[in-house]
Amino acid sequence: MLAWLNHYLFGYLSIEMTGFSPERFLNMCSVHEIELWKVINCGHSYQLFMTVQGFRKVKPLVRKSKVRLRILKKFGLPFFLHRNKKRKLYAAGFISFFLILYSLSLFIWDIEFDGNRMYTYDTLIKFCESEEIRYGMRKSNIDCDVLEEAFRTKFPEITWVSARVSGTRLLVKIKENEVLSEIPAKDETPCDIIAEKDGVITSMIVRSGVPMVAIGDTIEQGQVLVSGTLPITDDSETVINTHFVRSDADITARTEYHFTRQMPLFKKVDVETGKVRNGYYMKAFRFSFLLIRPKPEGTSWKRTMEEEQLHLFQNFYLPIYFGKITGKEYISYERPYTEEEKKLLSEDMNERHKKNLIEKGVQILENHVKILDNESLCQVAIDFVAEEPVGRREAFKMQRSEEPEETNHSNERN
Amino acid sequence: MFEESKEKAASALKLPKDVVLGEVLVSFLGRHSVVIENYRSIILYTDCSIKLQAKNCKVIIGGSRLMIEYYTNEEMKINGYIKSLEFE
Repeated sequence: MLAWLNHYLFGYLSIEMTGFSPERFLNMCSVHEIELWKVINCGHSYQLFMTVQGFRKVKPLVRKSKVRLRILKKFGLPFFLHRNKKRKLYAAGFISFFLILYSLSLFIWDIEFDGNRMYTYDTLIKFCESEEIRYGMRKSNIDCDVLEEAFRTKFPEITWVSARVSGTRLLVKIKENEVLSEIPAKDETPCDIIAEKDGVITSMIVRSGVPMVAIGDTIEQGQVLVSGTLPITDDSETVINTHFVRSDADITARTEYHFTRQMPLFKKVDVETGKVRNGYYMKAFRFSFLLIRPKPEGTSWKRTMEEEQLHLFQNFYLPIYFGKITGKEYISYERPYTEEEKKLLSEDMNERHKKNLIEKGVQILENHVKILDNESLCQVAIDFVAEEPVGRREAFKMQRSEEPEETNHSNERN
Repeated sequence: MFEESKEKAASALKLPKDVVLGEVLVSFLGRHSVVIENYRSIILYTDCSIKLQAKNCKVIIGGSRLMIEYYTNEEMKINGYIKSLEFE
């Protein structure tokens, strides 16, 4: 391989040799260290390969051994350049290709994050932009260590970051902490528990505080369920002191939800006509080039695009994007809903509400869906009977004026 | 006399004899290629036989379509359909 490269770089010749004593010529060549190879005997003549430097030194040997040399063909770079010396633009294009490729390789054309689960790509890329690291910047301006440090300080949930530049890509690997990084501090300020919603209490477990309601009571929104004001009474039931505690209770109540939703009378239907137009587009830096036939007047098309970034090897991304556009013609018209569709739509609405409630931690006991249909309006009534925790902590307001320290002192004395 | 002592010394010291004595070393790779080391010069080269001068003998490679792949001062590689090797 190395020998071949050497031969190609300096040029070599295919030579036909005839004459009196070719063996003597061959021996003399080896003595004078003239490189010959692939010597073939074909009848009276010999064919061999010789380097250009060797051919320059060979003249006295030819005279001594009385052979005749004839060049059959010339190979190698010097001859190639000589043959193509008029094709300057060709050479310029060839060189500029490599120059452009090299200059493109100095920038970052793709940023990839790996291992992020909590933080989205957009969050991370925005943070990178605030750190002056963005798509299309110089590779040499990136300090991976500083970037890693910044990631760890900005996002405390990220426990391990590794940033590296590979080719024209910035690869950031992230490990997020899977458990909570800190135990939330326990809030000890005294408070009441009040009702979030109207309902009937079904169960009640009070851990601290004074219960103000009982199971089976009807409650209203905002009503105090558990009071954080603990009266201390003596034997004659007179209040001698009040103790403020942080109420803690699990209270569930039976609640009702009523939703009414309007349904449009007419349904918009898009029907594809089956006509498809394909097109391509190319994007380089900020310039994009679209190649698609213009759409005929008065027709509507749905377009989808698939974009792909051009890359040479796995990590040599270039700022050039190719995309394929597929357009499908459609005609839209409106028609009234059929009974079946109404039912489906109302079911769909119901499911959505149900999902919302379940996500909030509500247990659903009953669920009714009614379609109220008349000429001008179509409504869906959705009713839920549910069971859910209703207690919400709220710091009390009126007692704030008193001085809690004083009461605390007296408490200790008691 | 000198040659004999040289050979004894070489065998006693277990030195490679082709290096010490300059004997010709012929190595075949199948029947299509042969490498000859420590030859002196080419005496005859035709399509069907190559005769080489070694230190104290002549080596004749017989065959057909013989081609010298490369040769230097010490070493020569011959490709082709090799039929025989003779010493003279």
